[in-house]
Amino acid sequence: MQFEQNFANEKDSIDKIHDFIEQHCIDCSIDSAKTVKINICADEIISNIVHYSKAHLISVKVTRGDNAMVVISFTDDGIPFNPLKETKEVDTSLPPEERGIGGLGVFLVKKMMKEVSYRRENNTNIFTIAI
Amino acid sequence: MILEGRIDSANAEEWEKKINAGLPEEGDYELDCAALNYISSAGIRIIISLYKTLRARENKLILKDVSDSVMQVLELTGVSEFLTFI
Repeated sequence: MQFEQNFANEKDSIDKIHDFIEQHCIDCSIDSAKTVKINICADEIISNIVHYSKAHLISVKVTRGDNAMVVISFTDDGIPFNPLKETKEVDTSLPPEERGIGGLGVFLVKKMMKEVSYRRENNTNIFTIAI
Repeated sequence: MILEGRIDSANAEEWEKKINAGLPEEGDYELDCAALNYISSAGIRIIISLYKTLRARENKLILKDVSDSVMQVLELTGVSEFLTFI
């Protein structure tokens, strides 16, 4: 089962992408706890694209494999950007006063998803998460 | 202050204004999270900044009726240790 849709790269698309993912997670019979995790991670990825990529389009694909794994991929035509490489590690053992505020998003994605990957292909960034 | 729906990068700015506007001039600050479905790192940033403000004046940030999914994000980011839950 696979669903794919293109969205304009603008702030208003963030809500639309969340609704798209939520709807197709329901169509794929994905439980609500997993759907919430997917949406939290999707928010981190989409906000990075919207704020930094200078892309025109964001394509979102939701795939449910036979092995019950859900794969979501985000493709944008923006400047090369690998969030996995660019983001600093977050030291969550430090008290909040001493913590830098950046980097939390990708940290959460890595912690909450089973697989996270980035590749650059045909002048697009392809970020894929799976749970 | 009642938090509801989702706090994500699309609405974090509005939530931040609303939450800061509800900050009492003195005493602890209680956020009712019963109707909060999920919070992304954009929301965690608001919580951290609010915690710092309250800690500086020796008050607590209290989160009420936190759902499992919100609690998971608070725990993964290590923020849960610094908050008070009821």
